[in-house]
Amino acid sequence: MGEIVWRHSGQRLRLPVAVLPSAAAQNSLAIEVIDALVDTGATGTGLRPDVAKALDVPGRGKRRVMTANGDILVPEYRIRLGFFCGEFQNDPEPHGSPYVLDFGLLVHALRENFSYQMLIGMDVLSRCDLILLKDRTATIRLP
Amino acid sequence: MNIRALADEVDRNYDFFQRHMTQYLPREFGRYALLRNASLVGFFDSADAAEERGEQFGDGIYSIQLVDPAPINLGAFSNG
Repeated sequence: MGEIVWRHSGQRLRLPVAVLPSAAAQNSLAIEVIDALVDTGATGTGLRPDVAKALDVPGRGKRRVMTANGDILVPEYRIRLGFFCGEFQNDPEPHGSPYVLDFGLLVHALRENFSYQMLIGMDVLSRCDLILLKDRTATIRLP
Repeated sequence: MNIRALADEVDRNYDFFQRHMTQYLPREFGRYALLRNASLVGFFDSADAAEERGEQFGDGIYSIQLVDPAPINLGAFSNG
């Protein structure tokens, strides 16, 4: 079991993560290390299209996403997700090999200019222990 | 894998999936549907299992849809 412990900003929970194509992909060993936002308010995990393009990951399905202007239909990608475990005084750093979750994900496309390259939603978080203390210590225990 | 053919397949399969979604609920809710040639291949407990079956077609032309009629909610980010 992997674990990440860090002191967050008090405003947002940001993590470096490793994104890899699905295990069945011809380039399954490709990897992109990107900046992700942990968001308990999001029901699903999203990935910005530029990251999917860099990994040569095609759309494998479609999904409706709620926006202020109504629902939109976006691609979904098959990926694997890795985390950089350890204890950090401030924001976590992407050192060492990532702890890759043993299940793949079907994630939706974020809009092109989304502030973060990935939004980690409750589809992933509900499989983890997420602990937030008032001293700004955050812990994620991975499955 | 032919990316253009895959994109067309995903579109056609999604149309089929949407038209038949009510037939799949509530029994298959939360499972993953594997689709090919605008028809249902089967339901799987994980996207990995659906993909594994899809790869057996040999050409990579298939799509996967979560059986859940609700749209993704981005919470605070829904407003932009």
